[in-house]
Amino acid sequence: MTEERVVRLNGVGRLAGGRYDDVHIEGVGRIEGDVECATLSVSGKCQVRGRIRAARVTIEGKCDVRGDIEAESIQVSGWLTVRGNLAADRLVGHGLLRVEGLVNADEVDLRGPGRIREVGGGRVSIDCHRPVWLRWLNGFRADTVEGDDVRLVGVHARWVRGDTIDIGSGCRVDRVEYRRHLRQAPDAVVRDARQA
Amino acid sequence: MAARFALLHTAEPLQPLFSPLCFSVANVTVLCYDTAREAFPVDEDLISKKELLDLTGISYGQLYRWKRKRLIPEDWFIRRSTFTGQETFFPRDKILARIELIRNMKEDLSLDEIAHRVSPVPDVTVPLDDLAKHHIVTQTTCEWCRAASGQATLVFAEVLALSVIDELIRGGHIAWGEADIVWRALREHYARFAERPTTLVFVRKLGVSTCAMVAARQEGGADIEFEGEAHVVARMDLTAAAEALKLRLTEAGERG
Repeated sequence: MTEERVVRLNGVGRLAGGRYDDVHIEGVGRIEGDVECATLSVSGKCQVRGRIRAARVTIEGKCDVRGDIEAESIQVSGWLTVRGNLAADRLVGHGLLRVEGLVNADEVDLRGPGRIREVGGGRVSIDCHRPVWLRWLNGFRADTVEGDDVRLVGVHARWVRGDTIDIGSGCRVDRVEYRRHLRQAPDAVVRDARQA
Repeated sequence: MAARFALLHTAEPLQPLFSPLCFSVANVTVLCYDTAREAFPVDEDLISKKELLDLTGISYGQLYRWKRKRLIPEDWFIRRSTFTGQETFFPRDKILARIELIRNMKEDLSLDEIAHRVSPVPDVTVPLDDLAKHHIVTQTTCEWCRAASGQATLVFAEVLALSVIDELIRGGHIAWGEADIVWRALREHYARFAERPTTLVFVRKLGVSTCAMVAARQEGGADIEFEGEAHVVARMDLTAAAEALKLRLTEAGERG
């Protein structure tokens, strides 16, 4: 097959799953199955009833994925919900991210609130900085955060494990396990920290 | 015991009551079932993630990267609750061997190439003629395959089926008429069994022959026994056969 399969959805529509080159959704769209493509970009609202495998995923609106996402780079500046796992070489997020499974990425750079069950990777940086008078709002929650270099601000987590850990202001962590270095902000709460 | 097999004598073959495997030999129905939890005994030798990292000196980032690239299969990550919460464990021997393997290969292969090597079902297509040329299977088996399926290229499961048939025929266990049974079984179901230690059992009773693939859900292997009149003609370790075949295919590929 030599012809390019580029889909551009403007308005309201549905798209069958399958293999594409580029998929652009600029309206309200629904993908009815697993998609495999080079680029997936959503700048409206999109529901995916399957898995996504792509080289690049850009989300600038709202996207709801029933299955897993696998991509080289994922950029979220809107609202992404994933029912399964998310795997990427690089994940950059400036919005709301909800993942019910594992987020596995070499580089995780998230700003903004969210809820993730498990985060694992090399460099993990999650920054949900809030001024003191807005701290009552939901921040970033995670069950486990694991990585070589972990930097957290305003994150509530049960477990944080890693080589170098930086627990910034507004964090609440039940247990920290570090191998080399731990830095803790004065207003962060860490119940139990130990060097492994 | 990893898996349980109930042997029922019935006049009529039973419908599969509960999957995964139900087949019948003349008037014998063998019903196999295993329970996922039981297949993974608690006392099995597991290693926690923390222990693994300390022992091997790899980092969290590497472990996750290898998992992402499918160098470490998903089902080796076993989540167990401990008194401190959920923790991840691995089957000790397997994961240590795999990490050693990855480290050795990492020097001169990319991660994707390693993933290709360690994957249980390599994504290869082999021309039928090459199999005979590189002495992976005999000429006769190739001829049989050409007549039976009419395909010119084979995927891994099919090549494995051919090599198994080849070995069974050469060992005098089965006849050409029965080769089709093995061919169809492996071709259709091998992908589902690839990641587990699997044995192929060929059974004959009162002149009727059939074969079955037996595997436990996870670790521990499985065992199967038949009633006295059914003769187990051959048992074949598919995992070992697949490993050997992979090696031969790689060698053949290097020779060109």
